[in-house]
Order: sequence, then C-alpha cells, then structure tokens
Amino acid sequence: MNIVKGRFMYFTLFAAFSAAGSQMACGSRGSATGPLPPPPPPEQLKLSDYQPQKAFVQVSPGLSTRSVFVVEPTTKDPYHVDVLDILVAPGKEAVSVPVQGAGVFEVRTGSGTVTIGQKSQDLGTGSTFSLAEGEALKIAAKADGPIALRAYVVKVP
Amino acid sequence: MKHKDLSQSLPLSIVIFLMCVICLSGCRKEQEWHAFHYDSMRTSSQPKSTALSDPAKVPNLAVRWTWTAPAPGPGGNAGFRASPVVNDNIVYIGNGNGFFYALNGDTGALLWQYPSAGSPALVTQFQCNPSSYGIASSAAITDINGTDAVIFAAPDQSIGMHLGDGRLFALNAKTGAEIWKSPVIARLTGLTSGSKTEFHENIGYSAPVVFNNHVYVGIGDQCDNPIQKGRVVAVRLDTGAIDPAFSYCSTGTCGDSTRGGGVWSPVSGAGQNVYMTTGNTKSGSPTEPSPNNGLSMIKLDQNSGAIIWKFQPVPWILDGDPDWSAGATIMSTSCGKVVISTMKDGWTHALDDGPTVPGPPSRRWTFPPATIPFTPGDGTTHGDTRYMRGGAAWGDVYIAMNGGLNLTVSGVLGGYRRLHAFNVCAAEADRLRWLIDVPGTSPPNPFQRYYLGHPTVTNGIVYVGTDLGHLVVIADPSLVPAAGFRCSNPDVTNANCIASGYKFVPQPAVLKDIPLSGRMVYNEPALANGRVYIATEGNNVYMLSP
Repeated sequence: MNIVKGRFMYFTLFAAFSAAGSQMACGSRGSATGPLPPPPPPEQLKLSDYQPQKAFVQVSPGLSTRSVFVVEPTTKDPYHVDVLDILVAPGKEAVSVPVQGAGVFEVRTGSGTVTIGQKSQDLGTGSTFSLAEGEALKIAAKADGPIALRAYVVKVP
Repeated sequence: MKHKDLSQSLPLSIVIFLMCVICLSGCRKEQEWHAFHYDSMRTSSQPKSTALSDPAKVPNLAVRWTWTAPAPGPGGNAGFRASPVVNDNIVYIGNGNGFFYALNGDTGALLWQYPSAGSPALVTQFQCNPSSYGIASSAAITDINGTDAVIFAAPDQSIGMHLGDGRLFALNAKTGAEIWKSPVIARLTGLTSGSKTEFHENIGYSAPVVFNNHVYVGIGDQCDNPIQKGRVVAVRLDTGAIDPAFSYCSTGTCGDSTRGGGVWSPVSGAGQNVYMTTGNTKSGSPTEPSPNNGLSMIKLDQNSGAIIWKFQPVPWILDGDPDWSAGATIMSTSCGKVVISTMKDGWTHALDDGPTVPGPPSRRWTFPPATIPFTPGDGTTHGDTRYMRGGAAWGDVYIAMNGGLNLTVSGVLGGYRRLHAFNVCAAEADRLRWLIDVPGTSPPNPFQRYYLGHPTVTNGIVYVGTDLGHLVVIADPSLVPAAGFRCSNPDVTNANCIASGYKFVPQPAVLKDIPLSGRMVYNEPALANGRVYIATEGNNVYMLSP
C-alpha cells in the first residue's frame, strides 16, 4: 500500500514539475487586468503634451465655444454667418449663451434644457430649436454629462 | 525489489515524458500566430509572455531581416495587404502579385512559393480596389489528417469563367504541395461594370477561419460594383468540399435576387458558433430586402448557419454605407464572453454572447455612448467612413480605433489616427481606459482616410503599423507609467477638461517607434515566438526582435 502511495506521489510530483517546467520554458500567460487606478490629484497630475486642433475655449464658467466656420458679409450678401460649437458642462445652473444674431441650433450630443426668454424645452441628441435676434438664451446640461450643440448664427451688421 | 520498482516505473516515465512533449508542443503552438488576429476568436492577442511583452526589452526592438517579394507580373499588384501567420518558425503570407510565400522565420529565406515560379499568378481580372489585388486574405494554419497545413483564399482564373473566381487552397505547410483546392466559393461570371446579371463576388480581406472541422470564409463584392449578396461558406477541413448543410446569406433567400450585407470581415468562431459582421444593403436598392441582415454583427449556428442573434445598430433608412469591416472579436472576460467590434462609422459595440439558442442579443455598451438603434433625427450620421480595423483583446481590455467622445460633434476624421482602450466590464464612467494619437502617422488631413493598421497586443504591450510605415509599440499604463494625462474628449484642452464635465485619462507611453518601408494600414503585426513579423504595402516582410 505504501509502495503504491509512494509511486503515486512520485508520479504526481514529477507531473507537476514537468508542467511547471514546460510553462517556464515557453513563457507564462499574462493575467487579465481591471480598470486602472484613478488619476492622481490635480496638483500631482502630469499632463500630456496633446493639444486639440480646434479646441473649445471657455467663455464663462460652464460654457465653452469654438468657431467652426465664418462667412463675412459682402455687398452682394450682407450677412455675417457664424457656425460655432457650444459646449455646456453638466451642473445645476443653466448658463447664459451670448449669441450675436438669430440662430438655429442642433444638439450633437448629450441632453438638457434650453430656455429662451420664459419658455423652456427639453433637449436630446438631434433636437433643434431657433432663436430670434436679441432673445436671451440659456442652456443647462443634465447632470450625467455635457451637452454639445452646433449653432448657425446669422446677423446683418 | 529495487529492480522490480524500476521496471514498473519505466512505463510511467514514458507516459510522463510523452505528457511533457505534448505540453511543450501545445505551448509552442500557443506562442505562434496561426491565424489573422491570432486565433479563431480573433483576439489579436499573444497570451504568452516573451521579450515582446517585457517593457524593458521592447526598446531594443530592431529589424533582423527583410524579405522583398518579386515584382508583380501581368495582372498583379505590388504590396502586401494580407498579414503573416507563423507556424514552426515558418512565416506564411500572400502578396498582391498573386503568389503565396513561405519564409524561414530565422532568416527570411524563401522556402517555397505557390504557384511555382513561372506558373500563372492567382489574380483576378476584376480589379477595382486593394481587396482584389492578388492575395489580400490572410492565411490560417491547421492540421489536416496529421499534416500541418496552411489555408488561404485567392482568386483563380483556372476555374469557372476563367476570370478569377475566389476559392480556398490548402497546402502542405512544410512543402507547399497541394492538399486540396475548394470548388468556386466567390463567383465572378463577368466583368461588366454595374451588371446585375453577373456575379461579382469577392473573398477580399475575409481571412478564412478553421473551426469545427470546417473552414469558414466570408463573401463580399468587388468595390460595390454592384453590391452582391453577402454569404458565409463552410468547406470541410479534410476535403475542401463545400458543406451543403451550412448556409448563410445576408438578404432574402440564398436563391433570390436581393443583394447586400457583404461579409468583408474575417469570420470568427467560438463555442458552437460562428460570428461575423456585414456590409450595407441600401446601395442601389430602392427597397429594403427582407430579411435584411446587412450592417449587423451576427452569431450563427456552426453547423447550419442559422442565425442565433443579430445586432443591427444602423437601420436601413440610415444606411449611408457604413459597411462593417472589422470582424467580431470574442473576448473571454471577467464579466463573461463578450462579442465586440467597431463599425465603419466609428462606434464600438459590445454585446453579451448570451445563450446558444436563438434570441435577441444583449448589448453591454456602445462607445461613444448612444441610444441604439440609431434613429432618424438623432443627430448621428453613418457613412462610408474608415473605422475598418479589428481590435485587440487583453483580459478585460479592448484596444481599437474609435470615433471618440467628439465623434458626433467633430466628425470622423480626428479618430483615424487614434487608439482607444476600453475597460469592457467596467461601469460607463470607467469605460475609457486610455487614448493616444499614434505617432508615426501623417498629420490630420481631410482628404486622407487611412492612418493605422490592425493593432495586436501581448500582455498589455500594443503593436500597430501606420500609414507612414512606422511600427509603434505602446505600453498599457498598468505596465509603464503613462506619458501623461489628457482630456477624455479630444476637442477639450486639459485646462478646460474637468470644468467641461470630462475626465482625465492616461496617454500611454510609446516604447518604440521604428520606421520601416511602406504603408501598413491593411496589415497587423504577428507576435510569434518573441518576434514581430509584419508586412507592408512597400512589398516587404520584416522580422523584428528585441
């Protein structure tokens, strides 16, 4: 009985060493990985040198814009057309969006609320609305993320 | 007694010796690169640790040999659009000149070629884009009746209408001798532009997959001139005969005149199922075919071809030709088996594999986040854009081209040069793991659409080729500290990131950037036995090692 046990142990050990040896000979499998730890606090954060080609510029707290395309007026076509992207950060307060002219707006991503004068409307991706010249525009993004809009603003100088 | 013990141990020793041989043989196979995207699950991932996964050794990576394919003859085109596969230290690859080559992995010396020199090349008379230049499909390594074999798809003017029908070839991997040639799989019955009475089918980039004792391959078309009915064909591994029990067609019935849903991508196989993605159906068709399995990621029964589930994020009404060109990657993750791919419009979709019985798929997530299916008026567009390359899977991490968080605001162009890594199983807020604008690519250009090849990965070290002919090696930030942090939205500056509602994510470190010769936008680096094998449109195959 002991001899059988001994042989079994010998076999088991040999097989285990063989398996381990063969694994070492051909390299081990790497382990799977979960999410990375969160970034360090801002004062310790090393920022990359990446720079956006056409970055949004912050114009007021919670509001950033960038110009996409501008058409200057001519004697034949006296309209100033400004195509711009608007980015509103998520937060509780609606932000005032200064617009020089009348405009048509399209939500490109995100959701929120637009308020023109006293009227409010929910916004989602693909929503559109218009703004008459001189009206006050406020936009709020929902708490789960920013809202980005493209605006086509027309003005006769 | 002692003598008796030894004699009784002898058979045991032989058994143990054989076990070791089998174990080592299996481990050696695993270290090689037997298929396009590594395996039937198309993970593009070399799981074994070698010098290629050692961040300390990767900076020593250098070219050890270069092999240049012969200039093309009549009907051929220079350049490699296929990628290498590796078995027993032999590198196998087809060229645009219509010849298939076996190279010594140590030296780059040519071991054999098929067809033999002086024989007609495997080219088609219908040539309209690089998918039809000679042999664009990558090969697969397998065993046929105890013989190591290499299987590839190519056009062949010796059969059918003698114009270049697509078929599969199985060759002895050591000698290049034919084991079998399949019947016609992709029909080419005429050369009339736009003809709807001729078949203009093409195997193109759909690399064959060996799975379930069959070889599965997808059928697309010749640059939509016109679009054909997408199909998946299964041939028997032992004979090369088409298995009539398996049938999949993307539109209507296999015998009707509906068209669309081309299978441009490599078919995948896992469990008891075959997976693939399909192209568009709307081109030239006034009405939607029924059923319409175009623009879909699909799971099929491996034996019958019956659909288990279909995921179609872009409905027919929004079909602006966002063919699904990247195939399905099957990931074994901590949250189960996940089927994942990036569509040509820039959205990446991850699905739970689900049961093997028919039923709707369960979508795990989409990035950038979106409501699926897309609907008219939702602000999204789905055109013929270029998020075409497969992704690479490493544990719970998926690395791929993707349109990014600015996709719907800024359009598709910015993401062509960018790799994203996703935490597949994480909550939405932690989905994006890192992103990088890959160096060694051309500056952004609205008229350029190809910047990156297919990425591959080994234990967190990512390899990718570029349009400027660079091989770039990137380290996951869990292995090497990130080069820095950047805003998750590529259009927002670091200074404005948090205030705009985004977060900082790592920009991983680049371990090596090696200039080679020729574009590598169709190609993937094969990571085998501690070496990188990569081919270029410059007609070269390279071997690099640390």
